[in-house]
This record gives sequence, structure tokens and C-alpha cells, in this order.
Amino acid sequence: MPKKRFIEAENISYAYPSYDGMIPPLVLDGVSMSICEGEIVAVLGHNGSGKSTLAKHFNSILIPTSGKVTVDGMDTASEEKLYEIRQEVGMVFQNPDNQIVATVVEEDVAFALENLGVPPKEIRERVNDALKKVGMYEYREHAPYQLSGGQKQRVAIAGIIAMRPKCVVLDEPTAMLDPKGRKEVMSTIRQLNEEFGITVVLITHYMDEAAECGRVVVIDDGKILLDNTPKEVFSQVDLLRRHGLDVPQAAELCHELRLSGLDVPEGVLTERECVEAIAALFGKGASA
Amino acid sequence: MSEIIRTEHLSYVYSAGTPFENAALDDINISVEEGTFLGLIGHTGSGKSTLIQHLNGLLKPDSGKVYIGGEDIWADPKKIRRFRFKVGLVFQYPEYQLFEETVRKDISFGPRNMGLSEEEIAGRVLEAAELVGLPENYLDKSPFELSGGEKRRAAIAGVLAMRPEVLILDEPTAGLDPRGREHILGEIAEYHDRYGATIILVSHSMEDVARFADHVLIMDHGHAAMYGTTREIFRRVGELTEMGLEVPQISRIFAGLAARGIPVPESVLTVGEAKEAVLRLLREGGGV
Repeated sequence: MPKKRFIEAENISYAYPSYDGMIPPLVLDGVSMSICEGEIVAVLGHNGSGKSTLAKHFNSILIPTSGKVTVDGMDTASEEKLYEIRQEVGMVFQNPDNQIVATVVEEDVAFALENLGVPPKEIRERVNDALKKVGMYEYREHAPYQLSGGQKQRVAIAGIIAMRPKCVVLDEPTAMLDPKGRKEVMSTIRQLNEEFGITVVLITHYMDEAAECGRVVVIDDGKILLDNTPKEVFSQVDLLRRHGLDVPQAAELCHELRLSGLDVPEGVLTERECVEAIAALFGKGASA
Repeated sequence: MSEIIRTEHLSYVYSAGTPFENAALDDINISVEEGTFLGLIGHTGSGKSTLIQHLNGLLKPDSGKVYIGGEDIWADPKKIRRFRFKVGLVFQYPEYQLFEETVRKDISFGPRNMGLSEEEIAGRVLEAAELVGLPENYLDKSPFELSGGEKRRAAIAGVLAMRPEVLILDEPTAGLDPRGREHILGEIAEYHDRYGATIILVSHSMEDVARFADHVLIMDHGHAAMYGTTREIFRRVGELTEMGLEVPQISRIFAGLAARGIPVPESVLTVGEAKEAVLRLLREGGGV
């Protein structure tokens, strides 16, 4: 079934405004990509690669210096479509403490809805629904400061999905969380996609998170370097390393063994696949 | 080698006498040799941060003793400041603590408080900046002109300039991308090698701890749950997993291979070691 293209970037370039009269460098340099409805896409790159700048083009926080971005057919440069675009594409940022405005969890989730003028009865329903979707309903009457980082980030996500967006763009949502918080947030994000059909764009520099997505776009120096399935992307061990990125240890070990002339399949990504591949070398594969 | 840090029956309770009473540290007895590179691991709330704040006297034990270089740091509370120079503490997100007009003044703050001569201070600032890879022309910039990663390195330089015998860092790589992480970890290793300093690295990244630390201390619910060489600790995959901690992916892969009856060494810490181990086993006939 051909999927409907939801976000389309056509040959976009972007330079931040210059204040000192110098010609500013291009942060994005001729990027073209599209994201289809229902996809979960990771955008991977190191600091300064342009990945956050790209993400900000997806809901009209930035508009391209040249080229064009459309969201659900609407040009992000068109001012009269701004509110519609931002309702369809919600953003979640890195630091949970910077995104929470209210002193009670459920009031925080209701904040955007109040601003949008949603009737009170519907606000109640949407807030409850959003909090249940991120698994924070039991905490609805807590103060945000009593929550862990991962819980706060899930409240921030609830605040976005209460607006019923079609797509959520998350800019390094787990960078400030501990391993437990990271897991909570990642499983929430996957659930949004798998169970509720929300299109997800995940900006990250964690390889294991990118490996959980259906598609990985690697960006460096403002250009798209790779755009493929995680399996294909992580088999490019040398290329990724040259661009300052890591690969999971399982992929790295199999790559190294293959370079040593051993018969190890390409595209090994997970721990289990790696164990299988090495066990097979010793004649102890799954079939043995 | 001589002992640099010792704790005896160290205990600490937060909010004693209130309903929120919480034993953050419970009878901690550890001894750390001079020149050790110690990885400190545990969940959020396990007592890691409380422990490190005891080692330079930011917190005073409710019971038990802390010795630095054989001296009870609370023997004379008026002299506690000496230990703050001996034991340098870099907090999480130290970039938020920069406060001076220029990077140079900020790095000078610690050495100046130590009462060093202006000449000595100037030399130490240059050396600390060099250690963290900040070019000299950055020293007269405002800290606000630096990027996030550079700010963090400037903040670490401020602690290194005091040339502490023990350097403690609370998640110094949190939120950084792989390249930034390598930078900071390499600088810490350089400080360790150049001055024979003792390092305590608090980290959630088992891969980083496996690569850099020679000893590991695991905190769990206020207890010192495990303490030993990095190899001994990461061999205990089952116990660590039960505590909800992760072991490096490479250690899990090797545990999986061992479970298949392949005679791999139990304690492998890096991808390089893993590759060598597999190649060696295959050469020796694979034990099949």
C-alpha cells in the first residue's frame, strides 16, 4: 500500500541570520527528504550536524532560506497556515524542565488546549486520554518537581499529544535522562507510533534508539549521508565512524570479524544476531 | 601504592526525623588506592551523588568517617576547605556554573581561592585550558560565546586548575554526542596519566566505564553492592541485570556465547578484546 507523503522537504538550505556582516555558513545544504504518514524515522547526527535545524523546519519554527517544506500539503512558509501546521506537527525538546509550565501535571497537559480555546469538557477528556497514552494518568495531580526526568518528559509528550497532532517531532528527548528514563520515553514513543498511528520523527545521537526505528536518516555537515533501514545504515561502520558517530558494539564486532576474513553476515544489528553469527563460526548456530 | 580514600561505616540520612526520612548511604566501607580510575555506577537514587559529596566534605556523615590521604577530614571542621582543594568535584552539567566575565577569570577562580601567586595561577590556567583542548584565544572570550561542549570543558578546566589529587566527575558526558564524549573522556584519562591522579567517574554508560576504569563500585539503595576490578564486576552479568543495571553490550554477547557452550573468556570489556578472543579460539580449533 503506497503511503501518503506527509512532510516533504524539497532541496532546502538554511543559514542562521548573520549579525556581523559575514556570510553565514549553510547549516542545511540542499536537503531533500519525505516522511510518510505512520512512519517512525530517526534522524541521526553529531552536534552541529544540522539535525535539530532540520527538525525545526518540520513545524515551521524555521523556514528554509531556499527550497520548500510542505506539511500535509501546506507550505511552511505560509503564515496563514502556521497554526494549522503546528497543530498537526508537535515538537518535544531535550530538557523536560524547560517545557513544563504549570504546577500540577494535568494543568500542564491542558495548557495548549486552553490556549486553543477547546471547550472545558473536551479538555478534560483529551487530558485524561493523553496522560493514559503516556502512562502518567496516576500522576495527574502530582507536582512536576516530584517526578523523575523520564516522567517529566512523558508529561511533556502528553501535552503535545493532547493537541491530537498527526506527527510528533522529538529533538533528543532522552539526552538528559538516565537509562531507566530513556527506556520509559522510548517505549512511549514507539507506542505512539505503533498503537496510535502517530508519525514520529526522532532526532537523536543514540544509535540504539535509532536502531529501534523503521528508518534512519544520517545527516552530517547539513547534508543527508544515508537514508535507509537501520540494518543497512549500521552496516556502514567505517562511514559512520568517520562522521563522528558510533555503531552498536554488536555491529562493530561483526564488522571487525568480517574484516579479519571470517564468514560473518553483513547487517548484524542486535545482540542476538551477533551471538548467532559467532556461534555459527564455531558450528554452534541455531540449527546445530 | 598507598590508600588515598577510605570510608568507615559511612552513613547519611536525608530529612531525618520527617516522614520523608531516607537512608541515602548505609554503612559504606571502601578503600581506594592512589592512582585508581574508579567507575561509580548505580541507578538514579542509589546514593552515588550523596557519596561523592562526602568525599570532599560538602556533606557531613551522620555517622562514620571519611579519610583522605589518611586524614579524617572532619577531625577539625575549620580545616575542611583543604580537602576541597585536594578532592575536586565536577558536578553534572557544570557549564551552568560558569559565572565570570571571561573564561580565563572563571578558570582562575579556584586557584585564586587557594592563595596561589598570580604567576602560578596564570600558568595553571594555561595548562588546564590546554588539557581540555581550549585554544588560548578562547580565554578572553565570555563563557557565553562558547558552544555547549566548550563551556563544559571550560568548567572542567576550572577544577583541573586546582590540580586536585582526586578528581570526581558526576556524569561529565551527559547529553554529549559520541565525538564530544570521546573528547572529555580522553582529557580525563590524560589528567589521570599525567599527574597520577585518582579519578572517580560517575557514569550511566557501562561501555565508557569498561573502557576507562580499572575499578568499579556499584551502588544500590544506599549500599556499596559490589566493588572490585572492572573485569571482576562486569563478569557478573546476571547479578547486575537483576539490579536493573546494564552491562556493556559486548559482555552480554559473550555471556550469550558462553551459554551456547563456546569456551569464550568470561570477562571481555571492549570490542577489540572480543575480536582477539574469537580469533584466538578459532585458531585453537574452537574447542569444538
